[in-house]
Amino acid sequence: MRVVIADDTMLIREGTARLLEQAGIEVAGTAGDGRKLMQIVSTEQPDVAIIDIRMPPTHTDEGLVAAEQIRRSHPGTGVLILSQYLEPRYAMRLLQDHPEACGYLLKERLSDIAVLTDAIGRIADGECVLDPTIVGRLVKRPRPQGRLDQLTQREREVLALIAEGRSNHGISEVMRLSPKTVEAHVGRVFSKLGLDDTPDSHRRVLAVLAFLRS
Amino acid sequence: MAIRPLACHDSVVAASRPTVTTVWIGALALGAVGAGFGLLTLAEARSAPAGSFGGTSWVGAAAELSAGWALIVAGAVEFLRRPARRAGLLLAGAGIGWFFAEWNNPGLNSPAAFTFGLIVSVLAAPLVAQAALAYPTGRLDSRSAQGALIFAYAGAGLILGMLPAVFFAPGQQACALCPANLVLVRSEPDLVGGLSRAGLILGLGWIAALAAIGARRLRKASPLLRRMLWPVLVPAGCYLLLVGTDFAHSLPRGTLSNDSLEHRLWLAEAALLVLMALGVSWVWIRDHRTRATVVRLVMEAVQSPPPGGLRDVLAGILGDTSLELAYPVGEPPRHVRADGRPVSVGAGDGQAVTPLVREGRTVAILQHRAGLLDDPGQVREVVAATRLGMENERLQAEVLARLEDLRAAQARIVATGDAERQRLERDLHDGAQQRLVGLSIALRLARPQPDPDPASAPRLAGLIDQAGGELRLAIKELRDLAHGIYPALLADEGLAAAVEALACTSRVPLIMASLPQERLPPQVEAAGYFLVVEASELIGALAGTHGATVDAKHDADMLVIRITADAAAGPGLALTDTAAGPELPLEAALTDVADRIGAIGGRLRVEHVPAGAVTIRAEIPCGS
Repeated sequence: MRVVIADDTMLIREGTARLLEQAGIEVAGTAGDGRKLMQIVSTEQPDVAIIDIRMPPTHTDEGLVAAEQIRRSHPGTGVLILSQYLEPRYAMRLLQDHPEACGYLLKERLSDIAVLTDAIGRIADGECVLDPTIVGRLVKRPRPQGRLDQLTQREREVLALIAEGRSNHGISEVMRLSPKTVEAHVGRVFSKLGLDDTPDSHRRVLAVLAFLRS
Repeated sequence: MAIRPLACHDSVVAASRPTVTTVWIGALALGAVGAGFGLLTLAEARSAPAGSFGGTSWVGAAAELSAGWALIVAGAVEFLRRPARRAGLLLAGAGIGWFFAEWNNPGLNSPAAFTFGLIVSVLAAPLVAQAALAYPTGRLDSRSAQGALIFAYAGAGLILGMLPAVFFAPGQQACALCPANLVLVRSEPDLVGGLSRAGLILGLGWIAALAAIGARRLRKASPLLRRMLWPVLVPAGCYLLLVGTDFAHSLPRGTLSNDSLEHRLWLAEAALLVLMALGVSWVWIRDHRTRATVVRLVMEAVQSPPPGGLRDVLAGILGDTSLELAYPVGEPPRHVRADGRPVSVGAGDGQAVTPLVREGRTVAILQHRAGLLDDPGQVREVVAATRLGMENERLQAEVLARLEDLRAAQARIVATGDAERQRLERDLHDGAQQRLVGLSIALRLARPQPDPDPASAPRLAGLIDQAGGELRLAIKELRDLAHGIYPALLADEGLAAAVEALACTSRVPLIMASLPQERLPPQVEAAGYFLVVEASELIGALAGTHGATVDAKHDADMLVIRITADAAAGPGLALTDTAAGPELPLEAALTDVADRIGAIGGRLRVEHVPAGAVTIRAEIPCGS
C-alpha cells in the first residue's frame, strides 16, 4: 500500500507520515500544497492520496479541487479528504462526481490510526468512506417526510453503516447480526430506495448519495 | 472723434452699483438730453428741409422723433431697471445716434453743427448694432462681434466720417451754400470721392458681418435667451439691411444723399427702430410674466413637491432637460441631489456650472447646457424666485444625505464585523485546530509501543489515551465554535449551501421551498443566513411547531426570505419559555438580525397569520 500526503501544516504532514509508516503503510511522498501534490501523484502513482481540504493559496477548497482532479486524471489513485468541517455538503461534492475510491474524514481521525488505515484500505479497494460523525449527524437530523422514512430503524442503521463504507461482512460484525440477516436488510434498503436494478458496487454509492441528499 | 469706447468688458460688479437716487437722476438726465437733442435736430431739419430727412413733412417729423425717442426712452427705462449694465446706455446712445443723420444738412447755418454732421452722420448704424448685439447684458459675447463692431465704427466714423471731412472743402466741391468745414485741412475732391466710395463698399462688408453675427447669436442662444433676444435682434437686423440697401443704392453716385428712395428707406428705418424699442419693452413684460410663472411654479413645488422637485421645475422653465441641481452638503462639501444621493457636477462636454450664491454662501449648483445662464441677471432671478424652495430642498437633501451616510456607516460596521468573524473562523480552523490535531498526532506517536519496561507502560499509555480523548473533545468544541462564528460553507458556496446545511443542526425540521442558487453580495448572504439561523431557532422554541419552511427568492435585485412556522392544529403559537404574548418576544428576539438587515437597506417583518402560524419575512436589497 502506497500513499501520498498533502497538508500545509508540517507537524501534521510529517506526523501522519510517521504514524502510517509505523502502521506499515508506505508513504511515497508529502506535499504542502495542491500543485506539489499533483506532481507527486503523477510521478508516484500511489494507491491513495490523503489531502487536507484547506491548502494554500486561498485556504478554502483547494483540497477538494485537487481531489477531483486526481480522480479525473489518475483513476488508479483513490483520494481521502481530511477536513476540519463537519459539513455533509463538502463530502457530497466529492462523492457525487466520482462516487468511487474516495473518502471524507474529519481531521481528528488522524490520531485514531485504526480508523485511518481501515479507511485507506477500503478506498484503495474502490469503496467510499464517510466519517461516522457526519453519518451520525445525517441520521439524527430532523427531516421532512421523505423516502428514508419508509426505512425501519434497523434499516436506517444499516444504511448509515453502508454510508460509512462498510461491507456486508463489516456491518454484520458491528451490528452483531448474521451475514444472512444483514444481506436481507441491505436488499430491503436498496429496494425501498428504488435501487434494485443497479450493480452492487454502484448501489451502495447511490444509497449513500440518497442518504446525503435527503 | 466719434468712435465710442466699446463696452465689451464692463464688469457687473455689485460694489460699483449706483444708488437709487443717482440712477433716477441719470435716467431722467438721459431722457431730457435725448428729448432735447431730438427737438433740436428736428428744428434744424425743418429750418433746411431740402437737405433733411425729417424736415419736409409732419410724417417725417413724427418718424424722426418717434424712432430716436423710443430708443432713448427704452434705454432710460432699461437703465433704471438694471443700472449696473450698459444695455440701457447703449440703447439710448443708439437713439441719439439716430438723430446724427440730420446734421450734415448743407442748409444748416452753423459751421460747427455742419462739421459735426460731416463726421458722425453714418454712426447710427454701428450704434444700433452694438446696442442690439450687446443686449441684454451690455457686453459683447464674442470676439467676432467685437471685431466686427470695431470694423463698423472705423468704417462709419473714419472712412465715411472723419477722413473725407478733413479733405472736403464745401465751397470748391459743388456745395457753395454749405457752411464752412471746420476740420478742413486741404481740399482733395478726388480723395473725398475715393474715400466715400471705399467707405460704402466697406460698409456693405461690416453690415453683412454684423447681421451674420446677430443671426448666429440668435441661433445659438438657449430657448430662454432666444425668446428674450429676437424682439430686439430681428428689427435691428432688418434696420441694418436697410442701411446696407442705402449704401448699395448710393454706390454708383459715390456718396450718401437723401433722394426719394433714401427718404423712403429712412422712414422704414425709423419704423424698425421703433419696433426695436418696443421689442425691449416686450421683453420687460415677458420677464415679468416669466418671473411670475417661476414664482408660481416654485410655490407649488414647495407646497406639494413634484417627484423631480425643483430640478424638474427649473429644467422645464429653462428648457434644459440635462439640467442638474446639486446641493453642497457636509464637510468637506460634496454634492447631492434633492434625494440626498451623491451627484458629480462639473463643466465640460457642452455643460457649464453656475453656483447659485446667496449672502455669500453657495446654496446650490446648477449644471446646465453651456450658455443657458450666461446672463448674471438671470441667475439672480433664478436664485430670487427659487430661494424658498431651494432652501427647503437643500435642508431636506442634507438630512437625506446624512441618513445615507449613516446607513453606509452601518453597512460598513456590519461588513467589518463579518470580515472579522470570517477571520476568527479561519484563525480557529487553521491555527488552533490544526495545532491541536498536530498535538494529537504527536501524542499518538509518543504512545509507547510494546515497551521494555512493562510496569510503567500501561499507566503511561492510559494517560496518553486520556489526553488524546481530551484533545478530540477540544477539537470538536473548537469546530462548533468556529462554525457558529461564520460557517466556511457560506463564504465558499453561498447562501443556498449554508442554509441547506443548517437543516442538519436545526432543532426543528427545515423544509427548503426554494433557495437562490446564484451567489449574492457577501453582506446579503450573511444577513440571509443569520436570519434563517435565528428564525429557525426561535421557531424551534415555539410550542406547537413541527417544522419550518424556508422560502428565499431573488429577483429584481431583492432577496425576499420567508420563514414560516408550520403550526400544529391548536390554539396558536407562543414562545414556550416566556409568559408574555407571542408578538413582542418574537420581534424583540430578532432585533440583532433586524439591525443587520436594516444596515444594508433591508426590512424585517413578523407576520402573524390568523391561523396561528407565524411568518418571518425579510426583504434585502442586493444592489451595491
